[in-house]
Amino acid sequence: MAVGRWLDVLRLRLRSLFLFRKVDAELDDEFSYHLDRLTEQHIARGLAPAVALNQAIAAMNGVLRYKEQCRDARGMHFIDDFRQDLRYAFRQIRKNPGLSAVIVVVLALATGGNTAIFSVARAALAPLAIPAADRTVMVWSENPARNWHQFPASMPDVRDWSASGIFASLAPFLTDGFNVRLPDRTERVEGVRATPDLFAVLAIPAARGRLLGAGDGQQAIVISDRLWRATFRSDPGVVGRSVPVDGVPRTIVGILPPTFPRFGREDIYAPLAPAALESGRGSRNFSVIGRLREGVSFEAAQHRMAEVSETLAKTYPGDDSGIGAVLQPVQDAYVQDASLLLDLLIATLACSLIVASANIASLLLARGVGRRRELAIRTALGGGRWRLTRQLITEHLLLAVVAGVFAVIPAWAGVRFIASYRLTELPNVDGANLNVSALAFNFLVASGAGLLCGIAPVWFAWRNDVNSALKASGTINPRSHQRLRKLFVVGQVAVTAILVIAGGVVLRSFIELVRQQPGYDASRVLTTRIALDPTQYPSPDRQAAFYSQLVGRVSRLPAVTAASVTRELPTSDDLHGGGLFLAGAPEVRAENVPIVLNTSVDPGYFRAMQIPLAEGRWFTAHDTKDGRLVVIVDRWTARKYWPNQTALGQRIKLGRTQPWLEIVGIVGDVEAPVLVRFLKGRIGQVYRPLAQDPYPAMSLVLRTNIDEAALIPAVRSSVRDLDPDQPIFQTETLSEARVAGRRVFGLVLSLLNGVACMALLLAAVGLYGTLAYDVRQRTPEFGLRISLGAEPMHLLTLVLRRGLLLVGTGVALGLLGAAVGIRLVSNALYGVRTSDPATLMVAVGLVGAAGAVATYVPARRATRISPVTALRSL
Amino acid sequence: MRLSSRYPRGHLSKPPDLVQGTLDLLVLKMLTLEPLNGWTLSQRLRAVSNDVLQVSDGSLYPALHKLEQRGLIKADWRASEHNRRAKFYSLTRAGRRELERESANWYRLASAITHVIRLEEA
Repeated sequence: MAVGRWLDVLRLRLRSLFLFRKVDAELDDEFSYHLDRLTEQHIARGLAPAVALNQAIAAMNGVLRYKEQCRDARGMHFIDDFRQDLRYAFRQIRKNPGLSAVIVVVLALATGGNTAIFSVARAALAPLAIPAADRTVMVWSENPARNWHQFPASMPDVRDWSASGIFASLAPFLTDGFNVRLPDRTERVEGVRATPDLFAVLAIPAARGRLLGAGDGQQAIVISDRLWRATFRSDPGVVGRSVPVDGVPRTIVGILPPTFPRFGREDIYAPLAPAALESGRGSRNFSVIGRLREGVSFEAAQHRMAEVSETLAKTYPGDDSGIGAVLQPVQDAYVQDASLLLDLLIATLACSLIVASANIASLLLARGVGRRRELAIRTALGGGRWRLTRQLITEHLLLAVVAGVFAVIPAWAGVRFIASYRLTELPNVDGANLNVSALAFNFLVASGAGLLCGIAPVWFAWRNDVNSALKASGTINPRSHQRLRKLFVVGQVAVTAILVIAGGVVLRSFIELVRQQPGYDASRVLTTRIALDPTQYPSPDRQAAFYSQLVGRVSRLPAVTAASVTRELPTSDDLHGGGLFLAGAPEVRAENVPIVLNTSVDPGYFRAMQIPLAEGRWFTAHDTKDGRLVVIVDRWTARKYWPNQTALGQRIKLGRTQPWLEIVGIVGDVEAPVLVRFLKGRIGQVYRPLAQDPYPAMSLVLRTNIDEAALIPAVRSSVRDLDPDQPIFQTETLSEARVAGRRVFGLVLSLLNGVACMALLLAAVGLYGTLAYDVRQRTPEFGLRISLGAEPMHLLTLVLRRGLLLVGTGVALGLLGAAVGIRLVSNALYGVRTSDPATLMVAVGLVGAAGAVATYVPARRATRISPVTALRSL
Repeated sequence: MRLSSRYPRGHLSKPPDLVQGTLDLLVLKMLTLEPLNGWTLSQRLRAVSNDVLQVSDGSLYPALHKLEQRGLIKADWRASEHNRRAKFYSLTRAGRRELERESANWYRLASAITHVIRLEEA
């Protein structure tokens, strides 16, 4: 039956595949049996045995062809050929171990690096686990005239939006901090205050218990999976438990699943306070997220919102005139912060890809040309074109496979490296894992590139006829080839130059950053943050009183030399700024009002931070809320706004409706965080006394003469003694706080310089390879020249000149490119110097030196050519 | 493969495409009688056809291997008449079916050609 037949055939094929040697032997046996019988027949006819044998052999003329046909019939010759190709490939690789190693390393690094960046980007851009996420939108207020972009909304506006009919559910929310009292300690937990509609919008059910409901009042809270595991140790009995939050017992009604999307670090979800719900139309504090009704398209919704906004603007001209509503898909909002960083990462990726490909291409091109002669000979001997191409494909595929295997290492290391920076800008980066499909994809791309580069030169070679290739005796480099290779080298050097210059500029900025004096003494200072719950400390007086008491207490701790509080540390990302209005200055339009950073400090702050006083006085205990309103400014502000006179005694206000403040002191400048410096440039800093401008959340600053960490328990108990419901959090030394602000910078720096180093290495190797092959090709010519009387030195300069010309062109192009790039970047960021001759010179020098070394070695070899051996190869 | 014309006596000239398929048919038929190896097969073929059908040495084997790959014949190694090991081919059931089919085709073709050749000139 058919099945039996196919089974037999299958068995045959498998046998051919696995027992090929045996099968081949059988074939030989079969033919030799035939030969024997033929010989016997001839002998039987009377011929002598030797003659009979010869006749028989002659008669079986063509036996090789028949054998081939038999093998073809078996249909397994592909496997045979493949094995042969593999053996050949191995031989080739062994013949050029250096070149092969370089190709493998380059491919592995490029593939691995790309995969790492891919994986991180994919984790960051992973779609939110919200059902029908494309129907979920953020709703922002906008006022282009006042430059309000992605602005929060007010409760009455939210209610009116909700009535517009396009939302299935709409929820305002606030981020907030919560002080959660646990049996053994109090912990500060980030969270969200929202209406129960938030859960309707996100449409994700609770993992345990239930979500907030309309009838819950202020009692109920919902916690995240992370908080449940970390703080409550996955205790299932937590649901229904009462926990004091901000001093008031609340009931945990539910736990969210681990896949619940986070917008920041929130772990608690509580209802909005009644006061918030009743806030006015002008109080824009709420972020808004909504789910569009079924059947409403994004454009239609946007259109409707525009109509609603117009109506509101007319109805409430005082609050809502000029205000529009803008919808933003929640996915976009989620990755917004990451986009700049991701762009950077991807740019690095692109650069490294270019460098790696150019390098591999030029290497393989050079080698391909060198093998032209070999291939021509093999073609003349009867090698089919397809067969030879297949051999080359196998060879390069083998390299690519090896590289792909090795690529896992840099890929995995890259992902871990980026994750180790723990950047909040990159969501989900902790969960970023090596993306296998990315690895496979990159592997395919790399293999493809490798194949193309390997085959291409050979194809070019074949287009010329075999004859000329044979005759050429290897001295002829077709012009197109030379040009192509020169192009590759120049391109590589140019990109390398750009990368090295960019790396140098970033490095320089970073070093300046690090070396810069902060304006305060960051050594041996412990900081911690405290956030008084506004419901427990409703009046500013009570807040100020708490902090005064606290400062008094911790000052008396042993080993504390100075203590103070400030609204925000100078290293904080959360700086507050306001418009600066000068007394006696003419009215300024809204968009031209200068901005200053302002903060509120205890009188002992400057002493604790060791910020010097330039003029005037510190704050004292007499600067109470009933006294004259005073302010201290920094030297930069004083010089900028009162260049020809002293700033002391001048009056400013920090908002149009704010009271006037008198300047009583000028202190030294203090550095602002990295991001502010780069995005906003230089801004002034002003200080107000705590008693006149209190805040519930402040940073405590302690200067000590012992190890800072040893103070932490004492500080914690001091705070607890004053009020056990108030936790301390974000406890770190001031130096640590300074470093933390530089994390993004650090990552960019490492990546950029890593790629620049690799590019430098590759460019040098590529240059070397090209020139070495050149010299080898021209060996007979050089030999001829030497034998005709040329000086070896002359040859050296010949090769050197050629190499340095390539390097020079590349560097010049690179400089051009870098100049353009720097111009672009300095338009976007402050603090980037447009002309930095020192860095440029160093970078150019580095690239030039690498190029020179790469050129010199083969040039030297040119001088050592023995004319006799060189001429023999002619 | 080609039918050799070493012995000009009674040699047939046939168009090549006819030859290939026909060789398979001949081989299959020879194997119905008993299992044979390549040498014996070619000798037998010559004998049976009075030297008309002669296959050059070795050219039978590709055809045999192809038939084996198609599952129409199967091979095994056994001792020949001289106690030497040789590869003997025998017909499979599928081969028998193929033989019937190809024989029928051949008769049809041959009779059609004969009929045309015998047409009287008008």
